[in-house]
Order: sequence, then structure tokens, then C-alpha cells
Amino acid sequence: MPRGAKRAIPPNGMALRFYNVILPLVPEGALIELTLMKRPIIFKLVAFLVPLAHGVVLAAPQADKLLQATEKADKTLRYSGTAVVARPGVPSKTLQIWHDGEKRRLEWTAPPVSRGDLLVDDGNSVWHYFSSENNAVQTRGAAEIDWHRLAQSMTAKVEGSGKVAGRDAWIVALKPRDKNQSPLKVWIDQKVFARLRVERGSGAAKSTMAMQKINFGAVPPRLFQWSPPAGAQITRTSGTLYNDFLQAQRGASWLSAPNSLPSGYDFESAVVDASGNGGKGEAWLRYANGLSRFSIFQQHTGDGVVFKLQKTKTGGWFVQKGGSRFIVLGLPDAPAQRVANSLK
Amino acid sequence: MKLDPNEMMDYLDGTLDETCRAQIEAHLASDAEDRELVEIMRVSMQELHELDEREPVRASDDFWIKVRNGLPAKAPRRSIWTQMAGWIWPQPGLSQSRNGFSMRVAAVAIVIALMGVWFAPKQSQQPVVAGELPPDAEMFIKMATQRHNAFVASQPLGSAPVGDLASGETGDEDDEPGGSTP
Repeated sequence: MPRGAKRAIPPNGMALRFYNVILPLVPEGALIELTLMKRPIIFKLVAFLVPLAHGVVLAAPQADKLLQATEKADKTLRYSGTAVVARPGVPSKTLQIWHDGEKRRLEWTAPPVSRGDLLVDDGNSVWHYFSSENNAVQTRGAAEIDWHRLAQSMTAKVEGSGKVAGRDAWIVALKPRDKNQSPLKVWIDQKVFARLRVERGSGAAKSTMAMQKINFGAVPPRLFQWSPPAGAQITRTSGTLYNDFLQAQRGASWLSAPNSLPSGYDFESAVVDASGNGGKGEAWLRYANGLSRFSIFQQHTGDGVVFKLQKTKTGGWFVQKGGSRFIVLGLPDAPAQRVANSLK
Repeated sequence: MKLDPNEMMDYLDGTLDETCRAQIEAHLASDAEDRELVEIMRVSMQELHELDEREPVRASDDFWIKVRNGLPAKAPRRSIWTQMAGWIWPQPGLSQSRNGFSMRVAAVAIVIALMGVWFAPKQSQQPVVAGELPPDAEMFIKMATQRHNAFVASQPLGSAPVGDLASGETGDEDDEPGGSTP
């Protein structure tokens, strides 16, 4: 290597920035030219390019910092708006959203079959009301996107900027390391870091949730108080919510966990009701990969009845063995069967 | 008077007319030995029927022709094992006698009983019940599905609800996980 090139790069932080940001952008031919240049010209070039590189880095925040900011904002922001959820092969759903930190209310307005459906999360329990069936289901804890977990299985990169619902947003692309997972793209508000749009998958399999309108500001607290209408059929979820499986198992020795989990999934939470099922006990285990979730429900029967693994009409996988009945929900057939078979 | 084996078989098959059946029943009421023989045959036939229902064996149409063609012209020389089996299984001459017949029926019953024990379904390996689910299991499935759907609905772009008949969605197919971790 010519002597001039060696001296051209001072061994400090600026040089590192030069190496990391500018050099990859310079064509190989130009790099050779650069190495052949005289020292004063190289210093002038560096003096010009380094501030430029610095500016580029400042203008586009790091992707992981943006994801952390959006996760934090999700827990504090107050806003209301309209969103559209589009999934391939099914009619798009439109919903009104009210958000106040860890509380939220979603009201579906389209398609007609979903109109009047409601989800109210008061930060403690979640009510989901299906108006066409006058059926209300109460659960414990809400499903959140876990950006920290997603960042572990995906590489995040700021792809550029765009506009959503009239607001400027950074676009963060998350590319999965596991080819079986779907890629994600998130539009993050440049000012308050609200999540404005999320795209999942690509091509024909792409699903999107996008804010159409969004207004930041206080939300009336009464919107997060809800009780089922008279005559509604109610399904409640009682029991204790645990974030640690072993802790959950201490209160219920019959509680089973799968020995096999789909790639990227991990234990998220459990609801254990030791007095459920007529005092025999029942539990609900939730597993997540950051975005998607699946559930294992267990009902302790204490008998020797065995039912072979079978697909239910509702799309889950049911099995009864070892004194308990189980159902695995929220996974495609093959991994659901593996999970169910690995339950002891 | 003693019953002929053929009479016993006809009686168990239910092919006798009213008069003959009444005569045999009257005889069985008074002859303990024949009654016991008929009972052994009845149990053996039931076992065979049940075995056939569980694991039906069907021979091809030309099975017996092939067997007959495959038989040697002369009777093979009997080995020591065959002779030992002959002590359990009566010789041709003996098979016509009542004792020979009794021994054959008893041997068949023992073999069937042993097969029953050997091939009996083990509780830990095969389902005790594999048919319709009981109502409490159906209720468990319904409530679990409702709870799961309500849970995932709080994150609309997370997992798709399962069994959403209105939308035709049955799972999160676009996120098929690959391998499994122990």
C-alpha cells in the first residue's frame, strides 16, 4: 500500500466514523485513486467528508434506539385515532383507537360483521365484546409488541423516512435472522415516537396496520371503564397472573410446560386458577416471539382418561393425557402438534 | 347321550330349528360336561369375532388354492417339536374322540386368552377413548378459544384469531415457525 494512504487516516474517533460511514460508500476505483493522492489533498477531503458523515449519522437515529423509544412512548402516550388493519384474503378492518399509556380501547367499525365489536383494556384486565353474538370475554393482561424480543431475533435498520396520517415518520425495517419468520417494517413518529404504521410480511402475504388519523391529547378516563351489557354471555378468566413459569408452578404442581417450542418463541405469562374446573385447577400459558402469540390451556382432571391429539373445529389442537386436558391455540398445524406432543 | 361337535357349532351359530334347539338346551341342562364345552366354544367364538373386528384379516380369493398347491405330496417327517405339539394337539385319530375335541377347544381358548393379554391396548400408549369428546371437553375448547382470541385481539397485527369463522382465518399461517427448540 502506498505510504500516503497510510498517513491519510488519523487514528481517532473521526477516522472510525470515516471508516464505517464513508468508506463503504466510495467505489473501489475511487478508493485506489484516494490512496494515490498526495497528503494535503487527502486531509482536505477528510475535512470535507467527516462533517458530512457526522451529519448523516445525526439525521437518522439508530434503529434500536427508535424501537426503544417507541416501546417507551407506547406506555405513556395519549392519543385517539382511526386505524385500518389489512390482512391478505380477508376484508380490511377499521377501528377507532383510544390510547392512554397502558390503557386502550378499540372499537371496530368495519366490516359490517365486526361493527360494534369492542376491546377495552383498563391496564388490569381486558374485555373483548362481540356485539353480533352479545358475547363478552374477559382475559388477564394484554398482548403487546415486545420490541426488545423482536430485536433479538431480527436485525433492525433505518430505511428512510415517510409520512403517515400527515405526520413525519422514520421507517425501521426489521429483517429476521430466521428465514421462516416474517420481516417487519415500522413507521415511527419523528416527534413523539408513536407507532403509526406496521407492515408485516412481504408481497401477497403482507399484513398492514396503519393509522389513518391520529390526535395527541388527553382521553376521557370513562372510555376505559366498561362492563358487559345485560343479557350478554360472559366468559371470565380468573386466577393469578404470573410472569415466571416456575413461580406459577409452585402454586400448581400439576402445571405442565411444553418441552418443544417453535423457533423464536418463549414463555410470556401464565394465568393459574387453582380453584377452576370444580376445584381441580386450570391454567393458561402464553408464549410469544415479540409479535405473535400462542396459548396452551390446561385443565387438570386428575383421571386416567386419554384422548389422542386431534384438531378442533376452532382450529386448535386438543389432547388429553396424564390427568389433564390441553389445547394449543394460535400456531400453524405442524408446530402446534409438536408443542402438544411435547406436553407431559 | 353326548352332543356331536357339529351339533354344538350349529347350536352356537343359531342355525338349528326350534325343536332341535329345545332338545339341545334340555340336554345341556342335565349334562355339565357338554355345557362346559359349549361355554368354552361360545367364549372362543366371541374372542375370535372381537379380534377380527379390531384387526380384520382378509385372505385373497385364491389363498386356499395357493395353500393347497404349496402342500408337499407326502406328509413331512415330524420333528420332535411337532411331536411335542402333538401331545397338546391331538393326533388325527384322537381328534374324532370327545377328549381330543375338548383338548382342542381348550387349547384354542388358551391361545386366544394369551393373545388377548399380549395384544391388549396399553393405557399409556393408546387412547382409552378416541371418539366424541365429552361436553365438558367441548366447553373447555370453546372457552379457551374465546379467551385466546380476546387476548390476541388486543394487538391487532399480532397473531390472527383462531376459528374466526366470520373472516375465515384459522391461524397465523404467514408466520410459520421453522424448527423447534428443546
